[in-house]
Amino acid sequence: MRPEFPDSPPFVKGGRGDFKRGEYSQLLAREFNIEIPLNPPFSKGEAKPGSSCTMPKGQLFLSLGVVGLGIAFLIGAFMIPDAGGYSTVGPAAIPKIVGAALLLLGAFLIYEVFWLKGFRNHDEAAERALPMNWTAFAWLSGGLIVYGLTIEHIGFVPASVLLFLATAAGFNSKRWVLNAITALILASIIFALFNYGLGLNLPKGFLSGVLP
Amino acid sequence: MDVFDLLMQGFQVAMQPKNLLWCLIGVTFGTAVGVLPGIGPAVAIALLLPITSKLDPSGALIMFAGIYYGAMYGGSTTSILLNTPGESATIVTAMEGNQMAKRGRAGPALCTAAVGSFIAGTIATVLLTLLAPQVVEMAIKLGPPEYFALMILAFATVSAVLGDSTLRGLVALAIGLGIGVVGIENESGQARYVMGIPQLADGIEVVTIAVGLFAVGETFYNASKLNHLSETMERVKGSILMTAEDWKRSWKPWLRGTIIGFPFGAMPAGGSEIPTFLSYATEKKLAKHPEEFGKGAIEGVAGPEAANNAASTGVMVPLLTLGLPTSATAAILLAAFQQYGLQPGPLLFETNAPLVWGLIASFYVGNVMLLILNLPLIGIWIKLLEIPKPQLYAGILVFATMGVYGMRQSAFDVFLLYVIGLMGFLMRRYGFPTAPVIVGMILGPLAESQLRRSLSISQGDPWVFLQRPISGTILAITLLIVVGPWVWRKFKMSRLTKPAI
Repeated sequence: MRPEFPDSPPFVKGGRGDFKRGEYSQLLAREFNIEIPLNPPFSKGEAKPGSSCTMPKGQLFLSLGVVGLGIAFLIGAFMIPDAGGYSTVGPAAIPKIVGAALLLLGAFLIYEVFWLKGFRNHDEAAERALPMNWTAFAWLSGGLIVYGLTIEHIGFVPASVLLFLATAAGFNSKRWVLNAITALILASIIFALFNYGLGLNLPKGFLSGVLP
Repeated sequence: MDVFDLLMQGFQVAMQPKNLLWCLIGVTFGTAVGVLPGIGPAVAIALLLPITSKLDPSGALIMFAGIYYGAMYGGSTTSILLNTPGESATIVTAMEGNQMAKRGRAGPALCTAAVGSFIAGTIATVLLTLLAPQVVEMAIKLGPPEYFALMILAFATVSAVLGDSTLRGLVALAIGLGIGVVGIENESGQARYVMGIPQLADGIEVVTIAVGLFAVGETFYNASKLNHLSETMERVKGSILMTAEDWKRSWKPWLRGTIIGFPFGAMPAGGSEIPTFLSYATEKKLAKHPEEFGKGAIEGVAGPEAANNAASTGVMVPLLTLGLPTSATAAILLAAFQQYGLQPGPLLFETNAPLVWGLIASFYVGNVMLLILNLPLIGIWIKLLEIPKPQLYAGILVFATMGVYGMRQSAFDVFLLYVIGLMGFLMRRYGFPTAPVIVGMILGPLAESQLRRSLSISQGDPWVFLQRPISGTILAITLLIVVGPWVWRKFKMSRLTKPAI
């Protein structure tokens, strides 16, 4: 049976991304008789009976993903030539166990999705209260992919500036010039510190002829 | 040689000017990452792993350890002023400390947290100093089956016991173990899951995983759930010093918190969540004015902060004496040792005594530095909280990619970082813990070789783990702590829900 919290609130709040508190903390709090105040900044959600009965599709896909990962891992494990010698643990033993474990655990996840109407102790309502911002997601993805594609050609500093600009844009910052200057200073300091101070080999790119 | 001589030897290492400098850099950087949202000690240490190729082991490890416990100090500042705990261990501090701040008592709250952390950190280091040689004495007698059992215990506590869901914890652990398997296997030289990609033959770097799951995943989560954020930072008004009354009310909670916290960290069954709650409950019970709790009682900050710090120092006991990490950050510290080809454990105390004792001695030094950094200089750290989100997270990503790329100059790792970042985002979104991934990935290969050794000794008989008394006991304890809390919760739950109906 799923433990029922009559007043389990979707902790919607700001800050370092703590939109919800783990219900484990609530459990502990209850066990030690501590009242966690729920008035602001915690906003207490209205309990809507029935609304939680919709099938959480995302959870289902994720669970299927875990099962798929398990299958892929198992297939890979059987492709590893196993010469265990006299100890019975060959190089394929652990991969087989991991693959089987993922498969089994994924099956349990699917069970939770179907029979418990969602993952145990996971506040789906709190997550749904905050819709996904795909624009931000795209900015960040683009920033990282472009960084990976360009760093070895244009160098560490320019690639970092682009990444900085893309990330800041993803967070809705419109101050392009200020961000570019900040990024340039930050990347140059990091480059100087790690390349010359600590002997890391970061690509110089455009300036490879100029810099020592 | 007795403990005192060894420790003095350690101080000779720790007090060398260059090591003092590394310690100072470590605790300063640690405080900064503790204060800053979006980046924690695990990421900070992982990002600095590339520099191990240029630094001597004692300097680097002293710095990394400084980051580890420095972040605990910094974390309390953010909890108190923003009421946004970075981790669940600081949830009670955040609650009570923020209430103090709201009533214009931010200063004393920060002060009792800093002094409490200092006292707890120092006492816990004394306990570590006294306990470590004893544990080493015992650990020398352990064979591969016992180590394997201990590792299973660590896996169980990290993934199954702590966190919202045993099932999701175990999924995270399995993924971590899977990541640890990728690459050329040590003993047989057999490639596993390399898929013809040369970069995978060397295995997946822990930097990529730690930074991807924690920093990149967190950034994705924050960006994609943007525009729903509102936060208020409490101002620090007036003196930050505590009054005589505050001192009188704080010192006992500090000591009690230390006593509660240390054993939880020192046993490979810990987590610092339970001791902070336990300390809070204890203080509430013992307080003269329990009605103040929840409205800014200083005991409710002093006790849990001390417990949190003592627990995190306690984690060093299994890490240094047994090579057993029980948190994500401890696992990355273990990875730092491995960068130098060192394996923490009883042997390291014999072969590398100056290094280990130098590290332990540096904890004493670092705690003093942190007290100074966090009391008179608190204003600087508060300024860090004012960095706007876009620039903060952009800066974090620039650092993150630098560390990942710099580890082995491979653009492949940047793409891998992106993929792991997406995974971190999904795990965050669906409530999967990330620490078991790191612990599984680092401890997994070690457990595999202990398993192999055990079965070589027993000539393939798997019952060896149950037949040997110590490993059998450890495995029984593992079973107990995995199943025990579940049974206890069921029992509590039935008692809790009945009166409500």
